[in-house]
Amino acid sequence: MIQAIHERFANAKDVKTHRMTNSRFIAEVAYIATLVDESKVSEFILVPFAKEEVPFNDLLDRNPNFTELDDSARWTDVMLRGFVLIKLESKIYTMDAARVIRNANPLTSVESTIEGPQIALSEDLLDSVNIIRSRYASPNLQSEEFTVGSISKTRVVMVYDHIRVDPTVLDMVRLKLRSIQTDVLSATGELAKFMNDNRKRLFPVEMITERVDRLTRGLSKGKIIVMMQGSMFAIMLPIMFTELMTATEDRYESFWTSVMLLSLRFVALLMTTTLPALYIAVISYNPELFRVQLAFSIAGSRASVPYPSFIEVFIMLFMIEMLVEASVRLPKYIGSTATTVGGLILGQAAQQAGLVSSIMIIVTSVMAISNFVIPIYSLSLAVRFIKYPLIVLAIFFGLPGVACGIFAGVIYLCSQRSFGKPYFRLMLPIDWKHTDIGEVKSK
Amino acid sequence: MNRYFYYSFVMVAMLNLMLFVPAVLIEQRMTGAVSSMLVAIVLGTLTGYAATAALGRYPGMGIPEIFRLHMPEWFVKPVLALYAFMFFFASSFALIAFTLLMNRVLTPDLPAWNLLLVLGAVCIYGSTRSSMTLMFMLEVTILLITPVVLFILFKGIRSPDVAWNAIFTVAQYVRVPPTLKSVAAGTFIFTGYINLAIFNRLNPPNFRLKGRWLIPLFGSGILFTTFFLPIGFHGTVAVQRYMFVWTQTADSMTMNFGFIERVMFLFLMIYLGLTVLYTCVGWHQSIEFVRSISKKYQYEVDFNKTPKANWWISCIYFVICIGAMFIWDEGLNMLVAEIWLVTRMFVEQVSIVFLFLVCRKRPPAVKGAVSS
Repeated sequence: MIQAIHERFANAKDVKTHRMTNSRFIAEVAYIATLVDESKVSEFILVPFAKEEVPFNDLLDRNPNFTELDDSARWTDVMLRGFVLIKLESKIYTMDAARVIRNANPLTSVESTIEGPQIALSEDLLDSVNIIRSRYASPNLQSEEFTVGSISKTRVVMVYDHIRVDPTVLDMVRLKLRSIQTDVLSATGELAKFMNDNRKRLFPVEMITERVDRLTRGLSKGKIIVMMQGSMFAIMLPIMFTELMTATEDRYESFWTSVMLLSLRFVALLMTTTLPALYIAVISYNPELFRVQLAFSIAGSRASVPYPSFIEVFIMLFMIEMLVEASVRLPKYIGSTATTVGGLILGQAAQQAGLVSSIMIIVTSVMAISNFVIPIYSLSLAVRFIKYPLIVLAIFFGLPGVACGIFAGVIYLCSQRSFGKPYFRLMLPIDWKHTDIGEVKSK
Repeated sequence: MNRYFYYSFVMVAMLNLMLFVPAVLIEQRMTGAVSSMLVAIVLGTLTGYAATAALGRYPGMGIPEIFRLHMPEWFVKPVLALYAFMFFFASSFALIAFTLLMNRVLTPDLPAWNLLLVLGAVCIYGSTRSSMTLMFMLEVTILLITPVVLFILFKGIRSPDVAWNAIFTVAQYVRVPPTLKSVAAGTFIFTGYINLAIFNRLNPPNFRLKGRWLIPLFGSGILFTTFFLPIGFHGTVAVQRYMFVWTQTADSMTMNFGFIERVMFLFLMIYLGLTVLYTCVGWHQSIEFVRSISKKYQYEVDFNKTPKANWWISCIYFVICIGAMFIWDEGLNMLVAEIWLVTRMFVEQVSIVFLFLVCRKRPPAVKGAVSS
């Protein structure tokens, strides 16, 4: 065995092999030292072998940590995942001794809540499954494992409640996970992209989240969770648009507060997408839309601006997008400085220099802040994008263009399906559903 | 599914509130419009009941499938073609009329076809989607639009500028016998049920339409509002001077404390959404009818990939609309509206009666055996 392994890992210095003897047996051990916790190796293999308290072949057969492996072709695979190979009397055993470097018990950082659970999923798959299992203590919870990526060999686990899950969705997800073809899989977003039929999608049709409470709630509603090794984010699907707009906290607070916050979020969604486009449409085509006093004050603030409204909008949008992008990419300590410099000083100066009107500054900041209200990051990115088509429509067609753009957006949302399920529709209580449309399929 | 039926009913009723129905009715306000409206309510409700009763026996099947069950092929094909044309014409006519209105009122400095370009593009996109998508779309749009329309109507009725005397004066012409044109205009408010022609395919097998009493209630409410409110605002005689009487009526209201002072802008934006929705739904059904002419066509209520045929047919509709826009003006609009309303009423009434008779022959118990 040692010979064969050295041949396969030709130049790897960290492949360690031992040949050991005690009074009865000769055993061979092979593992990759950098992937393996060597204290485990000595504790479970080397020490018992030397001490001979029980016959070593009995130990291998009885201890559930050791499993037999017949297929010699899988040796490298297994070793690359942090297993130890043991050869004893021409039988090969494996033992999991993987040492995974990860962040320990991370706190939620992307979707934070004030009073909700603060622990997020872990970057180690086993820990994540552990957290979910302990929060969703049901025997119906099933998990299936897949391997994705021809080089990275990333472990991907799919978890679901097998009584509540929709079997057609389950089949579809299984098929998708099996058919992924890639070299390296490094992030959950990448996995989500591979699982979509349509790679050129705008809105996320699955939820990428790190919050355990969201996931367990999803499980109880029959959703499927896909997690991967090395990422503290899980995919939850199928999903509806309104679920992307809810924060977990909506469940923890009193009813009317949640209703207020939720409607606030939808207002914010409308504002962040339409404000710049409406600004252009109103200023350049229909200034008579507003009441006369308001129209005058807008015109007054625009008095020193020497060019049409859309150039103004483009300047400000360019600036704000740069700011957002910069504050994401910069290290945390410089980030706040950049925002202050850009937001406060540049905006003020641009207005005083007469490059943009002060109303435009307000429009831009309202738009930017409203965008951050959206709780799911991938949706907020999509929303950041859709204002640009609306701006183009506003430039060429004015107000009717913007209205048509919004309507087209609604059509687009309605035509989306999340793993075969409707993505954007009104949900009613279950007892109404039995006469839902579309239950008759053709053919 | 009940609600989806009422969405389409509300959509058609609210759309006709603004388009040619009030113009036709108001033109004849002293020569029989009031009594015609009463006749229209009865007639509209009856046909509505008949159509829903007939189609309710065949959930999961559209008109093409039902006709194929009972009629010979040589009869079905031309009838389906006729229906396709009717749906196409109804929605395109609404689209063109609204584009014209919008262009005159909101963007007089742009050419009209410019506006039609963007409206039509959205209609192409919408009408090529699957039937299921259109239903979701219908729901979302109607739920967003209806409160605003009701708000505007409420504001109009409560407005101190309404001269109730003028309304009572016109209402006294109720003894003048009804005319064909006005009855035809009045029944158009009630035609929301024809959208079941295709969308009946989406109904689940255990589908029962409940709450049909809403049809006369809501329909007559809309009908009376569309006729009497402009008269109240503009007076018994002056009301005829306006080309787009409902736009002017909306413009007579003000929101004293709003960002937007003139209700008209709100009204126009809302009706833009409604018109585009109506056109999407109409074109979609027209496309389905055209494709159903071929006996081999297997319909799908939901698909991932839009069939090429949908795109082609929709684009042809669009080109026809653009072409029509160049010769279209208000005079032609009115003339076509009158002819269209009467033709539509006859085609529709005859089809409904026919459908009702056809469907009555078969006991509903055997329907499962045939459709499988």
